[in-house]
Amino acid sequence: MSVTDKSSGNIPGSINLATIRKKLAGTRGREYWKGLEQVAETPEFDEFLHAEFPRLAAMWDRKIDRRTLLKLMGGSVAFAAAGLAGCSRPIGVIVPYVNMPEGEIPGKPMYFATSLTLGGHARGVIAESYTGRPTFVEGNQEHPASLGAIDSYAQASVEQLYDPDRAQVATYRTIPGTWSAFIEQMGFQAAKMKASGGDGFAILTQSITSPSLLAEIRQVQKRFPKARWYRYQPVGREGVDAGAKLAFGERVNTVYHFDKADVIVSLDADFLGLMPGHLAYARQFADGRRQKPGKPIKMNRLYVIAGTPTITGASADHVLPVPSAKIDAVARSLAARLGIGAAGGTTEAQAHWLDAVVEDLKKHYGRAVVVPGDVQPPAVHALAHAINARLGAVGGTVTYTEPLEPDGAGSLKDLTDAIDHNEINRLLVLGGNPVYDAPADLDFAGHYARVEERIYWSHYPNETAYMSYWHVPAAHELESWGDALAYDGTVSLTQPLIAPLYHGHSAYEVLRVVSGANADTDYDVVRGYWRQHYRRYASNGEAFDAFWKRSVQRGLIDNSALPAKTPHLRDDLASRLPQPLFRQRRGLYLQFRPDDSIFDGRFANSAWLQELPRRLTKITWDNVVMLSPRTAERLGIDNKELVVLGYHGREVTGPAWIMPGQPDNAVTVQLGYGRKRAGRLGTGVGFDVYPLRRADAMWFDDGLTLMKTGKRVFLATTQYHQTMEGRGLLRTATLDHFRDHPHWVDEGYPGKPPKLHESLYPEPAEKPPLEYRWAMNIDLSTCIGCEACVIACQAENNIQSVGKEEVLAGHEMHWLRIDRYYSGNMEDPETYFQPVPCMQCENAPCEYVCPVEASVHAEGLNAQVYNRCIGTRDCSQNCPYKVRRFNWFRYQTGRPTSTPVAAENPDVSVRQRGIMEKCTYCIQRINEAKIAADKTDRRIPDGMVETACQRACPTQAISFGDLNTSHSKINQVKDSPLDYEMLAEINTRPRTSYLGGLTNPNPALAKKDKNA
Amino acid sequence: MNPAADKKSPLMPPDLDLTALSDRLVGIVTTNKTPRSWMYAMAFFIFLTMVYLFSISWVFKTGVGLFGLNIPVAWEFPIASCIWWIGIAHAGTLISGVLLLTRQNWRPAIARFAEAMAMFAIIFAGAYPLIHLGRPWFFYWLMPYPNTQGLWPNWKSPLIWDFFAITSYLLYTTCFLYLDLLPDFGTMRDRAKHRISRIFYGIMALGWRNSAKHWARFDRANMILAAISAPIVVSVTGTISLDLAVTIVPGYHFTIFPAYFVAGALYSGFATVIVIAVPFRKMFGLEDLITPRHIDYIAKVMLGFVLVVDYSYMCEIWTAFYSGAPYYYGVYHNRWFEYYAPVYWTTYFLNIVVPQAMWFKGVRRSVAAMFVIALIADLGMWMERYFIVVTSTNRDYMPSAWLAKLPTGWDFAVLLGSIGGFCMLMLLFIRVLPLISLHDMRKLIIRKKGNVETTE
Repeated sequence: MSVTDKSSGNIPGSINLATIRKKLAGTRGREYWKGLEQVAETPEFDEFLHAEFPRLAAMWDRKIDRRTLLKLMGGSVAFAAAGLAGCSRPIGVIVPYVNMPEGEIPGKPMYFATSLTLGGHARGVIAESYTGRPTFVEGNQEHPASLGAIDSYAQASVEQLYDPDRAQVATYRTIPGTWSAFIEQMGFQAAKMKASGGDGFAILTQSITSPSLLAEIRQVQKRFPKARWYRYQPVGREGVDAGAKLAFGERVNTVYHFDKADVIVSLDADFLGLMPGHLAYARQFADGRRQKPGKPIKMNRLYVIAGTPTITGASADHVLPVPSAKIDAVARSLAARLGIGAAGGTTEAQAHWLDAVVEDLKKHYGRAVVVPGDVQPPAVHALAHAINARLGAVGGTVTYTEPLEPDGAGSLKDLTDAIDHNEINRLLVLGGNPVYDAPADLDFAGHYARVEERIYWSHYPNETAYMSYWHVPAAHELESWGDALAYDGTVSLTQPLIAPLYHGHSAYEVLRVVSGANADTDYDVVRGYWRQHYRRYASNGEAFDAFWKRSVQRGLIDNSALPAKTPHLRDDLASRLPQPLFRQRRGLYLQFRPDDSIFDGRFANSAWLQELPRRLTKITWDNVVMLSPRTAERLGIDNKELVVLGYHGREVTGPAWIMPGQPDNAVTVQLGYGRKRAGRLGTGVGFDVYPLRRADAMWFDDGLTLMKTGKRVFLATTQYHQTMEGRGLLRTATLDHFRDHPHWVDEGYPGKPPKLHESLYPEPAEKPPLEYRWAMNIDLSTCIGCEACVIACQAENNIQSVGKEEVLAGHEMHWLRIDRYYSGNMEDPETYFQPVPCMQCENAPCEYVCPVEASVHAEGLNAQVYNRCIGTRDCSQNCPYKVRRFNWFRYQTGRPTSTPVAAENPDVSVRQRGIMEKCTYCIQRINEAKIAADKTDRRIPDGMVETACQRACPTQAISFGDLNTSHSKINQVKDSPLDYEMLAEINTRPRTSYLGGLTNPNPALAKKDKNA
Repeated sequence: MNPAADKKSPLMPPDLDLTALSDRLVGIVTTNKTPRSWMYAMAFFIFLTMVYLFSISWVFKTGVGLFGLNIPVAWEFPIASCIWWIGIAHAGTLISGVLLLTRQNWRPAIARFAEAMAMFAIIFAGAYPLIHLGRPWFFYWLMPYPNTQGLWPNWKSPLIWDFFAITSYLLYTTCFLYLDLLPDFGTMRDRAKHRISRIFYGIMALGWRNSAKHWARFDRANMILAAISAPIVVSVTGTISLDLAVTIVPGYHFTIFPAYFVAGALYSGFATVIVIAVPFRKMFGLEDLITPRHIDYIAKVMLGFVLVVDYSYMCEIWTAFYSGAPYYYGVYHNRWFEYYAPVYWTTYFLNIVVPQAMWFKGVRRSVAAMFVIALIADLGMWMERYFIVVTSTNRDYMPSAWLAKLPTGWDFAVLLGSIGGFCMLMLLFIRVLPLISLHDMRKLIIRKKGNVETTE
């Protein structure tokens, strides 16, 4: 607390503060945290605490651990809305709260449109804020990259915002310093630099699409003509750019329009999971698969040539597992069949598969599209461009725009080369974590250590921070102003929801300070930039203030998507293609992939994301070495056995995971684990594969060796059994079958729900009539298994994370789980996802067994009265769906995995230990709507209540509403012939139902595929 | 009874008279020479009791997650152990009640400690569900009492029936044991050496003066309680079994459960009587009062009940397959071939194959052999309870939720601790009160000598 540099001397207790500061100054440890802990135990601190935080002091008197304390303090401070400066009386004019901020009603949330970036690409979000405290983000319906949906990374941003492990203070050589000292020193340096024209000065950034930040970088380059700019992103898209250059001679940004496509071929592209724009793509793709009542039965068809199983592959009608390295050859063969270039080498089975695919593509001229994956080399991208042109896709299913990122930045390799030539003596690293995630052959850490002055700006005191001289904490995206482009070029604005909690500063400020310019705030910089450039987007004659207000309010600048252009495909493309890769394989293929949960490692300290089961393996808190069943068998490797990966003389050890659908001889590992300085949660989770990465083989290579160790480890998975045992829980059929048998969901499955009045007991529906009968439906045809709903549910309902040990014990808490089942053979299985929330049974088995009436039927829902629960767990025993979750220990506070208190949703109670909890259909949202409707003496209109999972879903697979409202959307969905209830035969009468999953296989492939 | 067998090996020494009987049995309590073996056993069981107290305190402090519980398997060791302990209690009640009604002359020698066994077993049985609660400090919400929440318990819940079954059983057993002890408290008061013990036994004897009026009332009360015992025995375990049978969980939902559980309860309970009798008769030289013939009779009862249990096993399997529901096949597939199959097959071996030895008289009359068989019966019945509780929910309707986990050290600590606590209480009991009922034995002697016609 006392490290604030704004405390004035005349406040009560300032003597104590000074004492503590002195004490702190004396304890110049490596880590600020330890210093505070030591101080916290002194009587001075106690006294200080009592004076400053009377409420906290009461808690302090109880024995609580350091983390709880810091969290509570963080939370209290957040309320103060002045960051850590809240400890002391603010300087300047303070505004009493009697004059409430406009629109603010205490206890009622306010919503702000803003945007969050991943890999530089913006997704628009709506952030919910309670009295100045952001607690939840959901998708911005108006934003083209979100369309109201959200992904798990964005959802977890709130948790990251309050993460107490974030960098809290500017440090110099890891010793706490101050922002003003930083400004002072940088000013001095910048003056020196000015004389040399910035010789030796370099900036290393991640991918940046922000127009204002790019303008700032240009400013720096103008001021220091010799300054250099480098760019590195571990999950980069170099292949995409190089491919475009190869095909068109210029860089372009490719935008897909899956809503216009009938046949989609993915060449290792995970466009539903990770590609920029994946939320929008998922929506478009799902719209092409959804069966609408009254419309003809029609569906797009997706072929995936998959280097490793992804959720895109799981949604596909046909998957061809091919090592990423061999997709080059497959792409050439595909192109050759369309008359482009020479064929690559393919096996007979692959050739047969490709024949059928090409046939299908040709049949759908103008409505077909080929999507190359970000991990693929330039040749595949170039071929895809050529194929798309040949298929008449350009302008329809594919459009091109100007690139989102400008040229002009060097690569990381250029930077290390420059350091080798002693050309860099001052390096500003803006974000990223290159010491950890740079390719090992570049030895970035070694080079970085040789730079005389190292300045680093980031969220966490991580590996790179530890090696830097100055480390400035970054303001979170929810704490600062900014802008960025969405996948289609739409300018998305970022506005702060809260003042920086931990002395964070924006990239603008740091860039300006380092380059000796005026240390304007991020607000001034961003606003200033748009004041100059707004006219292009403003309606005629609009004043800037009006434009700015409108744009900030909407979180984006209207009509700012980049216009489509038609780049000219090179006629001699075929001859320009590089030699096919990997004609002769040495050893096994090594493939890298960003992690489903923690991406490139940047989210490693997020309990929510670490505990979010990986989409296909359902593993939490670990990464694995994925092997195909045949490869594992051949090498004699057991599941969960530790294996040593040897590649170019480097060795890494991790647990093997036998992955159905993995191509033979290809080994996939996930980036982002094995962090050494990620924070309390992320440090040491999993194993680090960056040591195997090389700058010339960022995504895959051959020459990998695997060695058994014979040792097995425990991996915390949330699903152990992978098949359905022939039970009709998840029902799927082909589109053709559906055409012939419209009621197939009820045919051939065990058991039927008992007819009305078949039982001696009164029918549950005939109990006193209810005003509302809430119900849910989940469409299995469009669920892609992305798990955005799981984490949205966690964020909305204050569900605690529990940590690896507890997940291993079977104690995970997610109310909504996504079951993943395989069918077919191990090599090329069909993969299905089934989200399972509470079924809200009308005849709920959990209710009658509860001895204390904690599990009761209330207003047609199956409610759990937390205060009444004594924890017999009979309800869970008797729940056939096993959707109830129990607080085995006190998860809500005091554990490293507990959700920061400030991030909790105030509308939902935080559960004590020893009680059962479960999905409530977001009853707090229902009640809020009900109160609003009651005020106007009306019924809740259809669509007014959206559950958190429904809102988050990129594909709108989840429908929710009131069955008593005639013509409500849920009634329409439930009227579908595809609607079925899970385990209906045991007469639970569930309110949650499913739409049977449909696939659209190519008849030419259907049979052969099974035998392949 | 076959008089020839009676002659061959008498149920008590023929020359035992009333004074000698009182001297011997009261002497066990009043002697200053505590047997060494008692001391060692006591030390060991006090240690186990401490383990029990420590582990349940720790569970109360941190949470029931310490046990090997998880979401498909939200019940395991504690519930299995609870059912097991209640079963053990039942034999005590059956011996003191039903055998009294049917006037079995082998009853008096074993009834007293069997009744004490019932009492202590029910204490540990009752403690388990409370230890097992998520929030044990609110256990009293199971009781119907006027409260500010304006709520009564949910009478539809078998757990409420359970609560009433266990509490009424505890009350009943306490009354019955105490009533039976009254005349003996009188004897102890009269024979006590120290003033303090005289006062203690005097208070406990409630002014018992051996008058004919006392005896008449005593006998009437005893018979009434004995008459209640039969329905109690059947209903308590029957009710406990409904915790499982009333649910819709495949593997729990069998209508045969009440009968099946009662038979199993009595089987393990009689076995426990042997497990207790054998060391005690050795420790206090009671070989001539608790004879191999007693053991033989108990063995016959055990054999009878275990055959009912085995029949129930077969019935259950048949029902499962007859149901035609895949979920019920799944239960048996799980029990036979999956993770917990070793528990299942061991149980079947212990409860089906081993007890067949009791068809042989030589085995039944061999104290050592019966001690081993009785231990096996207790183990077998515990394992049966365990696999029923665990292997039903660990793989029920949703394959995605299936999970198999091993119990933790805390599970074993609480189980062994409860056994230790039980043994400690038994040891304590026999040093405070006669472990064989004096008045029942006296009646037996008198009846045998033909001095007095039986008057009951």
